[in-house]
Amino acid sequence: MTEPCDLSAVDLRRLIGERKLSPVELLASCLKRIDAVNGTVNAFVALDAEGALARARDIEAEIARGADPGPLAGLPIGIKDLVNVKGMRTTYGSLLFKDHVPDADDGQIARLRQAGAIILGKTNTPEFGAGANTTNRVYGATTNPFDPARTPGGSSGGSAAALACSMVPLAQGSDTGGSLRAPATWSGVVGFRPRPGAVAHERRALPLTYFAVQGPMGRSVADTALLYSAQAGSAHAGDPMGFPLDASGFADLTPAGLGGLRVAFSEDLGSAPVDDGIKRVFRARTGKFRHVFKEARDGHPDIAGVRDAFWVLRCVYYMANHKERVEKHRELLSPNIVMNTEAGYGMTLADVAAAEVAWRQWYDRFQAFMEDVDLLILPGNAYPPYRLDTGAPTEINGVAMENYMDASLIRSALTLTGNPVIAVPCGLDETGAPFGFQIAGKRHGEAELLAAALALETLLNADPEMARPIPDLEKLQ
Amino acid sequence: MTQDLCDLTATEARRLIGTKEISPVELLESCIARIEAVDGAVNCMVTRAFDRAREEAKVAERMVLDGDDLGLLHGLPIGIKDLEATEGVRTTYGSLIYKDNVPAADQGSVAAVRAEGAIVVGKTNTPEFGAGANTKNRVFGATGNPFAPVKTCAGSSGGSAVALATGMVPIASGSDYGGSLRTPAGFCGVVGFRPSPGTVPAEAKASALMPWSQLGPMARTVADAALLLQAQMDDDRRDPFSGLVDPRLFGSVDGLDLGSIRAAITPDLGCCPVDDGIRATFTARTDAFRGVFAEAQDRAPDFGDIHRVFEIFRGVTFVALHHERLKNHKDLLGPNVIDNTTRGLDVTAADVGWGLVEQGKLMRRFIDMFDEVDVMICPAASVSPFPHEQLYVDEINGEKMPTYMRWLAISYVPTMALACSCVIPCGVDHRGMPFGLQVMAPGGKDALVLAVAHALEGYFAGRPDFARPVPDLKKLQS
Repeated sequence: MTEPCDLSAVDLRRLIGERKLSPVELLASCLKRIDAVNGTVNAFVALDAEGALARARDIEAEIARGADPGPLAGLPIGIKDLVNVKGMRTTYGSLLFKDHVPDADDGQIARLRQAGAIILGKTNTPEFGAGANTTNRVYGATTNPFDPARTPGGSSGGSAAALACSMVPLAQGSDTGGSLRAPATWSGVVGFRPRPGAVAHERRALPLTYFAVQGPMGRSVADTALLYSAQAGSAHAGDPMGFPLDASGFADLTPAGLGGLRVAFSEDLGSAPVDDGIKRVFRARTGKFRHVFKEARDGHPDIAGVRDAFWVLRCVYYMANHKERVEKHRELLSPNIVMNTEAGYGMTLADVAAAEVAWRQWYDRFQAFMEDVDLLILPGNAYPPYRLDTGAPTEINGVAMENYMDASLIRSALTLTGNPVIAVPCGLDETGAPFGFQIAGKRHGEAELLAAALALETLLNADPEMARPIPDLEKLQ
Repeated sequence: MTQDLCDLTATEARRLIGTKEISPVELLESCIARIEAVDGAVNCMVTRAFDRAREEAKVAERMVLDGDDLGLLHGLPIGIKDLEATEGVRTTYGSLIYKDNVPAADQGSVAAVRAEGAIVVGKTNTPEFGAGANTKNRVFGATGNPFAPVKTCAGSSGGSAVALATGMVPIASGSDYGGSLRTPAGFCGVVGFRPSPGTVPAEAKASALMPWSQLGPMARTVADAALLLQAQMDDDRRDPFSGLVDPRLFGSVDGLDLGSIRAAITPDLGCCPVDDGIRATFTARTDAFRGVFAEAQDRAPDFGDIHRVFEIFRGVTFVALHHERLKNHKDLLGPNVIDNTTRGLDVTAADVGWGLVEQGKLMRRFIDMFDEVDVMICPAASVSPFPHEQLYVDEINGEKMPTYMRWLAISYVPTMALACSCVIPCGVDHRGMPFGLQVMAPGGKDALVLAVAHALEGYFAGRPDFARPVPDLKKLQS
């Protein structure tokens, strides 16, 4: 039976504005859902039910007075545990911060509050967001709502699983090598990696780099765009990638005419590791709808050198962020953090310079490729979600992976471009887990990408095999 | 001779072209005459494109007479730094490796100004690949300071600064990593503006994801530099930092009250070597005008270990650009390029990681200070112009400089904090050579910095000790 918490954020906001639904009632519905399934899924790791209730009452009163409390008024939201929320335990998934309670909100949280959102709690993440999983030694593993023996992906896995179970209508995430996209794909929800700086993040440790971006997640493209409209656009002087942007229009996009779009399809960017089963599903699904576009072709820019460039730069960033921690607290840190940091120790500045050059060349090839197409569509993940007890696959199609990021090349290659990318669900894969696409747009072309994704989502949802999958909540209770 | 058309400001010349009071042809001929008269003494316009310029000036004149829509820079002669590729005009990068290089196409920054009607008269000299702040190279030799040709004009946009100071062109392009738009402006008594990253896109940078090197405008006045910047600004997909152009930069630089501005004033940014004579000049000048501001605070933020940060990222840039060349053409490379690249090869990736973190910290302390001030003011350069025989400054106040770049700390520190910074002339120093000030604010505040610089320039104009110095051109002709 559909509860208020199962409605879309867009519908909920409308009902709240029309005073047909009370934010207090919606909050109660979300809390009830969390209570029912979070024991199995472990997506929410910190909750502020009391604070949320007070806020819901305030919003309700404001609306009763005829005030406009903002585009997200009364909507509960889950915040990834890498983001500081005032007064709310924020661990970054690390034992080093297991009792950390920030005394101030990050700028993006302050903006969400201003937009009327109700900060309900924190969603789980791997330690410091490292890796495409969601498990840590503070809270344990988050499970996939479609199969609790498997991972929901990561690092925004708590947010993705919470959305899939309708614990909240909206959730925040972040993405370096694919952390908004991978968990969205494996959990059957939407994650949007915006252009760097669109959602300013003043606490970014390495403000010169644009690997890490903040972004929105939702159960639909429209919900995701609604959240994004409230997140984006406030330049913060502390984030040199930040820029002023009028994002309000993202809340009210008109779906694009698919018949006017030129689209390139690539199952693996030519040579990124992608499981054969995923490729089969990708070909079958895209085969069902590629004719709707003005132009559909198979193609991709050349990814030579991209894997190594990403790995070197990632190691530099890991050393930057974690070297001191690894030296002092090795035993408290996850193996991914230690391995990724130590992998950089033998590298030289010349390796970094070569990676910078390779990155730049890939950036150029990608932008040139996107001159001739509006969208590039790829699989959302390289393989189906893995079992928590066996861990990430060490080989794909029989080929061994050299490191834990190799299998993410299909996503990390897009990170390096800076172009906006949205992950959109598309039915189930051959293993019964959610399957989805990554859709990359043109540089700075976020509005066009979201409008195209809106239209494509409608088309996909009309076909039972391609519609967004819904987990069986009964099984999770 | 100071009444020649070539001595007009760009803004005034452009206005007179629009009203048909002067012709682009006359203006160009005046510029060419000036180049021919004085360049023998200063050697700044090292490749000349007079034939094409003359053809373009005729077309420009025709367009005026026909009542066509005219671009922002219509009919204005411009000098292009020899690090920027120009279609059909030799572009050497100051390097023997490229001494006969004639590009097939303009790079974006050149195409942009030509699209707005500017006429390229020639290429201005630069040190090899822009390395270092002494404009001399093995292709063209040294560019002399118009106030004393045996001294350096600084660099790396030294040729452009000299061309402006001597009235050869009303506007010129430059670029700036550690001060290359600012130091030469300071040494030659002109204006150089380092914009925020991406404001003027550069499509061909090897390490494009590092925002240190930036293209920008040079001119004799702030308003002229702002006019050129408007033509240079663009969004180019090949420069990851380019993007939404700040619409405020299309507004006028006029109308700001200095009385509403809170200024931080510092002779040395708290961490840079500055010659005692320059320090004394700076203090005397700022003491005399600090009263114009709403508040003047003697302060600078804590820039932490910024010299090490600079050296690490300089290493990344030089190794990215020159590692191959160092292997294959070491004999053709100059000592600065070899030194910078070789030093970079000794650094680890972990050091680069450390540099990223330290840069983030120091930049945020810089930005935080601007909760309490609007702009920060410091000297344009750390020393008075020195003989160009000397490749760089190796000692300040008796203290040995550890690298060939350290004397440029006063300008590379703002770079590492991603500031935008405008150099304006402010009289002469203790040795009678041009003295300049930097006016800066955090990245994104370009319009504010230009407005404050313009207002200060106006305040200085009426005061003999503060006004822009003008070189004695007669001396340069004899």
